[in-house]
Amino acid sequence: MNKFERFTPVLLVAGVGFFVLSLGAMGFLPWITMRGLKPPETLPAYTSEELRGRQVYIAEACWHCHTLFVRPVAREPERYGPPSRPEESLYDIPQLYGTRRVGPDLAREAGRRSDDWQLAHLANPRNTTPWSVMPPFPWLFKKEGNKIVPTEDGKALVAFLQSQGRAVKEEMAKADASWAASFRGGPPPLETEALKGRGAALFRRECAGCHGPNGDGNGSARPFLGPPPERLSRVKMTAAEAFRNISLGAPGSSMPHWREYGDEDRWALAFHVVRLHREEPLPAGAPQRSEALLARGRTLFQIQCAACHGNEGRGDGPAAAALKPSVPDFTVYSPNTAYAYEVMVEGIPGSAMVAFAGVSEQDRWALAHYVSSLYTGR
Amino acid sequence: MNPPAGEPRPVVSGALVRAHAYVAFLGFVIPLGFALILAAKFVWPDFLGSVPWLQFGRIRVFHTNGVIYGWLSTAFLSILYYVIPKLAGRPLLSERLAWWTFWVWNLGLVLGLGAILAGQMQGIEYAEFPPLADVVFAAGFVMALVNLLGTIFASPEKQLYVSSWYFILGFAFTALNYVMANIVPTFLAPGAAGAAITGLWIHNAVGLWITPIGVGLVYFFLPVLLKRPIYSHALSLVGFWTLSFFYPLGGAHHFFFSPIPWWLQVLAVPLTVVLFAVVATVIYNWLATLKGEWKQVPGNMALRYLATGIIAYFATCTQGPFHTFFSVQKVIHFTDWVVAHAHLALLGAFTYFNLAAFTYIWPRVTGKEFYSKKLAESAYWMVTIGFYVFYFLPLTALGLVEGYLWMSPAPFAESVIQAIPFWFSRLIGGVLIYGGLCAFAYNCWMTHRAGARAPAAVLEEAEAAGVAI
Repeated sequence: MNKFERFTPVLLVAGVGFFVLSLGAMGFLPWITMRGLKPPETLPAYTSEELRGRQVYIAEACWHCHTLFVRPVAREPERYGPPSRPEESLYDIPQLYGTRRVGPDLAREAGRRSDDWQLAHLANPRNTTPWSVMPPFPWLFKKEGNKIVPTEDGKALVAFLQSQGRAVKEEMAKADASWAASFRGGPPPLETEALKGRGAALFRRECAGCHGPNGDGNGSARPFLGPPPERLSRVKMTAAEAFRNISLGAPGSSMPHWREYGDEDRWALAFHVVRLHREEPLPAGAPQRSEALLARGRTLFQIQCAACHGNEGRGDGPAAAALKPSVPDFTVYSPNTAYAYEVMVEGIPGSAMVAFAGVSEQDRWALAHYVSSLYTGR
Repeated sequence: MNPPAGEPRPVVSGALVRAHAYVAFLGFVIPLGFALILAAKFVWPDFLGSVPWLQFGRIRVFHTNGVIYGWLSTAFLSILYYVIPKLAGRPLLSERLAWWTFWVWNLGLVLGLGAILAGQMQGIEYAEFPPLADVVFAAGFVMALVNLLGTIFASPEKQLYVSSWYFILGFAFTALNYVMANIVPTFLAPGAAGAAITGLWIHNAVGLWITPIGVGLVYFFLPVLLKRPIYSHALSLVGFWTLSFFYPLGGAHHFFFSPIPWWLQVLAVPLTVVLFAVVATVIYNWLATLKGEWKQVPGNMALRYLATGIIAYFATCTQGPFHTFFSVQKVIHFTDWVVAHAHLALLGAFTYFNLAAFTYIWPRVTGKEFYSKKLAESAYWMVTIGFYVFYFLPLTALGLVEGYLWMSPAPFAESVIQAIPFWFSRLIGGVLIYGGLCAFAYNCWMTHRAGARAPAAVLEEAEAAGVAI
């Protein structure tokens, strides 16, 4: 026993020898076995902006609450996307896989959300996600005039986030598209009291940040988003149309899909969105609806709007197919007259809908009345 | 080497022990103060939200590094400056070197922890100090190593007591591990290879630094407090060699189901499960030493901390091997279960070992009686109730809630919303733990400043043991 109780064997065997053994066998050996890996062709090296964003991600310790790898277990492939592969992180030194998950995994973040959404969320996560406990990052933004814009670090961080999962971005977009193509909606459930309560609660939890608690579109995320969040209280829509938008999101805008929630929850939300709509009076001086005005509106619509909105306003004009966000079908998604008028004056920044400055005020009202008259609810 | 006969010369420098102890106390007063802010931010995420250096992520890292290096490691130095000269039966190799170490070490801590708050950290867990701070801190570590292991090496004793083996292991392994971690996974190894090596580092930072020093301290203080020898010398030898061999091999279990090679993950399971047997020999040895003496535990505060810590150590080391079963890992990984588990080890076990040691040595290095028995009692109960009732049990339960929600079709939001009441409980527990630890530190400080003279018996014992107050 004696020789094990002397200084030298303890120091050399346990202190140094077992260190070398463990590092060699469990650290360097796996490294050697992975030396043949090549990054997938779909994965370019980081740009200098992305690398800068990666530095911000490290400095702010984002990796202490978000993981950057998808496990093949615990429903993670359904929740996040394909499980992570070793060749995907060959550009990552140091690796940022992470060991704790307070917020969701970010390894499949590329293209999941718009840059605007990411910025609104970084400025204050409650802007987009009222239930979030993530800290705000006001120092990644600065004031420019009366606008709040991201700093270089802020932009870089978003670029880094949008690079995560690039290797499988196309694959995931295809899966998304095929889900959307096969989307049918299905028959709505009965709108019970319980479902009403659920819809209101879910709206407060997930939607109020952008759309505002009463759906007026003035949520705290609004200044960051282009196109801005829809003013749901000024749009009359069918539950089926609301359900479709909630299920598919609005690609090209910051509106994500909400398939993480089951059919029943999405229907509950859809019913709630329908209930948010409020009729509104026309502003003083605006012409009242008349047959003559509607006829004028219809004529103008054929000339000015039909290329995108379609002859009957169903959002199926020849130019519509290429547009993101897509063109609404006014027979099931109909802005109040006053809202339609405002949109023609201001356009929808960030979408293909431009301001129609050259149209006279009388004609704008004619168009607005016509558009809001198209609603059939079918 | 040996003190000249007939001229007793002190072997322990009280001032050195006390100076390190005060830094160690700051090492929980500050990082645990930040931990309270962290706990509050879980419930009110906009609390202090506009201050960059109080951003959640930065102070979380400050908390983990502050506790590991500022509190536990500095406290280890303090206690070892008492224990190692006593074990070696001779003064420290160089007291001057020890004071230099003190300043270099503290400079490393200030640079590293300051850089973290300033947003200048590295991206490897527990190795977040940036390069400059790494170099300074590693230099301090190596200086302490030379001094303390040198003292053991120069000891006139022919045989090394088991505690010394653990100290040698901890220092030698960790000096290498610390340097490795700040180079290989930080700058060289990409992706999955980096993860495998990071797994080794974070595993061994706890398992081959905190564990061997803490275990060595228990092997020292348990017989001292009970005034009886350790139950089995042979068993301690078995525990030591199996721990030092098997423990470092299990690091991959921190990255189960990640893209690291599958063979490595599979291999990590048995290599971790075997640790249960290893730890069982250690725990059995301690419990057998305690056997028949449990009646002493309630009345002796140092022994009470030590015994409570031993129970926590047993619990956390039983959890560990159980966690490596893939079926368990699938549920609890990434959740608050793991946070609770880590605190059971670092707070429940190793912090308690340190508090036991300080309770024992403080009268001996100050020559004073503890300032307030009441404060000492409230410290113990606040920390113990705060941790187990409000922190450990709720967060363990929360880990299961989170894990099973993630495995269900529920949206992610559910796991955050349902966590809020548990996180609130953690905040209450945090306040109690913090209050208790601050009371402990204040009690030590007041003992030093204004405590009554220690009973003659303690003073004589200290003098006989060669403590220079």
